[in-house]
Amino acid sequence: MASGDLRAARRYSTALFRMAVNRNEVDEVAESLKTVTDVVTQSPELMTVLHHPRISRERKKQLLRQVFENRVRPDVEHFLILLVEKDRAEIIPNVARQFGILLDEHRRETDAEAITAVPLTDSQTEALRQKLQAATGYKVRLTARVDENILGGLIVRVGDRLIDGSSATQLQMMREQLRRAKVT
Amino acid sequence: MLETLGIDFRFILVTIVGFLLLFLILKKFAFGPIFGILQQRQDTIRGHLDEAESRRDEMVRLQHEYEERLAKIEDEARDKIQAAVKEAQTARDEILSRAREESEAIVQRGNESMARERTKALAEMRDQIANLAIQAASQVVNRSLDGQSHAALIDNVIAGIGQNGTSAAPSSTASPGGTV
Repeated sequence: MASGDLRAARRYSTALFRMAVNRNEVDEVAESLKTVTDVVTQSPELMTVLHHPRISRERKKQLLRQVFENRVRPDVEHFLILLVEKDRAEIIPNVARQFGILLDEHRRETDAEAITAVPLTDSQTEALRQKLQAATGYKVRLTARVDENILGGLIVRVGDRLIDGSSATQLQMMREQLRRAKVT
Repeated sequence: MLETLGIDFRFILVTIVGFLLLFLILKKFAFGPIFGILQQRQDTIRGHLDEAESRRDEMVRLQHEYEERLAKIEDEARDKIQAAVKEAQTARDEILSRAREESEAIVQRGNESMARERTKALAEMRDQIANLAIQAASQVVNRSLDGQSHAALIDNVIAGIGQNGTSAAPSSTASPGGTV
């Protein structure tokens, strides 16, 4: 996707989000957008049709109404129709994604992923969540994954930040130091 | 007396008169053309002689000319040969100096490429040693880490989060290497 499309997605999602905040209906709008994302993910042909240059806008709008009427809030449905009118239907998935980012920011929530060589114990998971929440000030949705390749220790990814305390990385750093050692 | 000798004076006279007549007749009719022919012949011969003379002169002149020309050609040929020899020497010098330069360049290149190869080989060797060392270390770490050590490493990293004022400093927040 072109960066222009991403910028447009940010613009549209910000507008939609502000409207939701003003009406104090953030959760409801988020719920509707989640439905939209689910439908688009489950039936990619819907996006193909909305992309299609030979299909008229009227036909696309009609289709959107058929699919989403009574399944999403009317304001979200109108928002989708607006995108079709602006010939911007292809950015719908990105708009939903950007809305999710704004929503997390609004709720002060964030995703985090923990990678370990052996499964984390419950107490470790809880301690890690507490530590991350204390460090970031955000409520953390923590998912854990086991990857034996890291040998030992722990890697945590929070948003776009990375805490790498894995033995594999330590060894890699040692290797780099060895490679940089001067040989005459 | 004359008669005793058998000489008749009349006979002589007649002979003289006859001779004179003959002479006059011959002079009138024959001498002219004969002398004319002789004169003509003499002129022709002299003409031939003159012509021969002039041809001889011409030949001599041509011979001189040829000799001069030959000399000139020889001079030119000598000059040309000298020029050619000089050119050949210049070419030889040039070829020699070029060959020397090329051989020096080849040697230089060889030295440089040898140095490069050496550096490369050293770097490769160092990389291989580093890789082998870390591979060995990885296996040791893998084998020597029991459940307790794993837990300790993980706890160590968790404990380090939020220190140093940041949660995003990779590795600096934890030093599991110390327990390996």
